[in-house]
Amino acid sequence: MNIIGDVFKELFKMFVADLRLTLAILGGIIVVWILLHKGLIGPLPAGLLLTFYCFIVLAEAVIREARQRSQR
Amino acid sequence: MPPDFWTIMFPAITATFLASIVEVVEAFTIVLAVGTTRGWRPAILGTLAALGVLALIILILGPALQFIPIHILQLFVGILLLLFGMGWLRKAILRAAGILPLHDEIEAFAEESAALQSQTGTQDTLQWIAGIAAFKAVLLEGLEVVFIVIAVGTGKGLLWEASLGALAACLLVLGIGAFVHKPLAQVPENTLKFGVGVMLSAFGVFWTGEGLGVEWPGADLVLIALAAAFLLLGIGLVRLIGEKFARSIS
Repeated sequence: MNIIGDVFKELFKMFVADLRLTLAILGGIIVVWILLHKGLIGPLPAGLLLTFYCFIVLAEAVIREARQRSQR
Repeated sequence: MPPDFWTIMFPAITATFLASIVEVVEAFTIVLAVGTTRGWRPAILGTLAALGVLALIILILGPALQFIPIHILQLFVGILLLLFGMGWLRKAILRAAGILPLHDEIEAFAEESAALQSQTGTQDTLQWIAGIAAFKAVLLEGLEVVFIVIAVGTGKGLLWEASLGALAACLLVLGIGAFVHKPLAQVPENTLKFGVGVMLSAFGVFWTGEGLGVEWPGADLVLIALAAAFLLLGIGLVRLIGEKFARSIS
């Protein structure tokens, strides 16, 4: 039972190392999907948007964590 | 040589190989602690049992996922790879910049050995506890390898190739470990983690995009550009936060 619990904990940690980063990635994907399927942007700009959005959320997550740890 | 060897197959196998080295090194440290503290029988039996469970997961999940339509599969796998890859990259950047401490195999070995030595009970109970410790370590570290093998392998039908990459890493680490007989603290785990995080993030953006209906310029070739961009961003962030925040922490 303990091992099964640890397995689920490990699986959760694999994808949710930083909850805000995880939610930001999922939110960004949903926004790109909506923009693409409503025809508001084309397939190529959608790819660029997804790419740059991922860069921004990664940078934000890293800087946020560094700032929090430096203030402790 | 397949036309997508350098753009898909090589990065996929390299990613599983390098990621597996990171995880197997961590699992090996625990197995070594079990072996040197309680003997090699529980260490080997626990390891083999966990490897059997992991192989079973790949054998069941891998072929089962191939029945899912490719666009849905790529979107699903792409999102998971993005979450996992960017999580690894974030951690590797923070460690490389000195914000988070590096994983220390010597310390992990000492902690596990001390934990095993503090256990009390009959010889059979102690052997059982040691075997479970080895089983759990290999299973938990192996889960990440299994995920990477399945995620990278199923996106383009490279399950066997990705599995071989993981197996090669496993044999390499175990071979070296058996030879040196101490924790593999010299392995540059964070550098490997950084590289794998870059590759998995690039795969994640690529397949999520494909699943959403994005048309990438240059098709598979864009993966190289994505990986290069994540690498440059990662290096840039290490420098930025290293200079800005690491000094205030120390």
